[in-house]
Amino acid sequence: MSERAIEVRDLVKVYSDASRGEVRAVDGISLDVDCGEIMGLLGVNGAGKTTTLRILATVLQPTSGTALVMGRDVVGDASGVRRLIGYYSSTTALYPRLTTRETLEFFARVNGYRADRVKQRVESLIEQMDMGRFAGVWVDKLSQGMKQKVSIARTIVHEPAVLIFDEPTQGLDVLNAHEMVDMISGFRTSGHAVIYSTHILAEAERLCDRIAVIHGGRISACGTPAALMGSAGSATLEQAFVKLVTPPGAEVR
Amino acid sequence: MSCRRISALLAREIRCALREKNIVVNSLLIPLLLYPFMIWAAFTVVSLVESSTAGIRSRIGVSGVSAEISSGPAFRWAEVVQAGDRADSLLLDGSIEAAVVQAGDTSGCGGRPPLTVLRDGSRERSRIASDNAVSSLLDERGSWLRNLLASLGISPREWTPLQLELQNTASSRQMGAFILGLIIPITFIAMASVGCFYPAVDAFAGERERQTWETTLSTSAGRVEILISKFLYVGFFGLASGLLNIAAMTVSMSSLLGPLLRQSGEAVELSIPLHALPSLALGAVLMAAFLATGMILFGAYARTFKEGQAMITPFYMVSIIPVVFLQSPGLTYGSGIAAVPVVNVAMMAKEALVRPPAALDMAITTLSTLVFVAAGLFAAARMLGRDQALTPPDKGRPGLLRVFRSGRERSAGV
Repeated sequence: MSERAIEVRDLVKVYSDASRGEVRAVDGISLDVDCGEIMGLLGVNGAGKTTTLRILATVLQPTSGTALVMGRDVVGDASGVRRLIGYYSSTTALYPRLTTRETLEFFARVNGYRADRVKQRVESLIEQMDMGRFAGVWVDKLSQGMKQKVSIARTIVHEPAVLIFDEPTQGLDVLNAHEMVDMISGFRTSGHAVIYSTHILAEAERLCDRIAVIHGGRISACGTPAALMGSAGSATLEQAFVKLVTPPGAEVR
Repeated sequence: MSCRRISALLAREIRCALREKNIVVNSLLIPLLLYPFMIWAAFTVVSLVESSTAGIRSRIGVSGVSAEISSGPAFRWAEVVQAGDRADSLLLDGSIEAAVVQAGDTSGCGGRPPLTVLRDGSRERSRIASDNAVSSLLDERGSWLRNLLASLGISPREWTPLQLELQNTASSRQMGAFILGLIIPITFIAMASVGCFYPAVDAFAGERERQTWETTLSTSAGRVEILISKFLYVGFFGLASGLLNIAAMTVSMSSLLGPLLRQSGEAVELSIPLHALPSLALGAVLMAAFLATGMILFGAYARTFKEGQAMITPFYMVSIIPVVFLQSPGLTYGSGIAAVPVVNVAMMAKEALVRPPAALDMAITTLSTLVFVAAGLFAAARMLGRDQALTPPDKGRPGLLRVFRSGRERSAGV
């Protein structure tokens, strides 16, 4: 039986917006992710995917509910949780005035990797991910594809058990996005628990073992891509998704 | 809290900052080069003006003045022009720099009319020429009096009722310390503020603008550790900026200003006394810590570099205002003033350059500054602990006021 990596129960996040008033960005989400599993969060913009992942990454605090990462509470033991996760999103940019090598060394040190093994780990990662050509180059001089590689490397440099990816392919061209998805797919075999948010259905179908469809801050369905299609009576994941997020009675085009 | 994480964050901040042109120029190069450059520029300009005006003789118009005076030694330094009754108009059109007119009542001064020196007070050269004329005429009168008394057999000792002498009992080292005491606290505050300013803006607004803020928040470091590393980063540059400036100023003043003062007869040794170093070092650290705290507190919710500058500038201005009062003759370093931020540290440094400050006053200064720093960092930690620290709102309460929760936020349990 796989080890449970993430347990989320009745998670709620309410915030106050100057123009919209009280907003329930997350409204009672519960989900589990096991080690060696890739769980996809699928939803339209504003569905609550990013807020959920930010709570798991301890960047935001929940209004109510619980979230455990490898048994540690994201509120009560935020520091312990942060050591166990690698968090990457399109809004987590790299420090432009550090080189690739300095970036990886910084993230290894600050995330508590053993001081005497930092250099060895960084060099091995540089070699493993073929980043030797630009290891000494400032990040802001790198191409978009190179930056993505460095971002992935900095997410895993401290060998976290849980990886959180929030729309990692946003803004990437087709080839870079394809390479990114391939890399993330590899984390399943290395035993990582991966939680992956996207609104690109093809990506989710190709990558995820299970998918949770989030709409209006709630999970409207959760299961394998095949199960979702089956329960919605649709031939494709796209059709299933549209059915799941469209209110009953509304016209589906 | 982990020192290892804080040092990793701090090393990253400093390394990145040393690669930012804005920060290197404003926090390191300007403090290091500004005063040597300014003093060099001032001396160059003065030398140029002196050499260009050395050959110029003032033109003095005379009217009704006896030939004995107008062609005598009193006016050898000037070109004398007979102005007749046109002294006023010649002065106004700039043909002459000053005029000496002897006319009017002859009832006094041995039957001679009084001498009147005319000048155009709005022109610098006219002011100089008239001052020279007055000084020369007074010398002439003194010489005339001495000759007259000598002819009557009266020695100067007999007709001088009181002899006055001004003597400076301060040593050249004390004079130097006094001058440095007037300058160092003011320039340190100004330069430490400049040194803190860009790193403080960069610490939060810069991170949000570059989208690295969420990256930093998602590391294993807690928000208090992040805050402390940023405080040390901003304080480091404030301290470096202030100390570089003092070093540059002391060297340039002692090598350029010292010889000039010695030429003018003033014995001044412009060097920082050794006994003052511990107090000055303490003052520098306290001042940098205070400025760093204030700027972090004001800049913590800035979303862009421009917004950061706008939020921090009021604190920057306010922190410099007390400097204006530092030269007040009635202001002395004592237990009362030792509790007033900024002024206390500046006064302690000023006092330390002249004599060792009282231990109690230094303790009050240190304690009160640390209380302000701790309170400021506590408030900043509260601000950064809130969700809004991730993406501060762009509407409603400005800057620091965003820290206070609205009633609606409280009721929503956010």
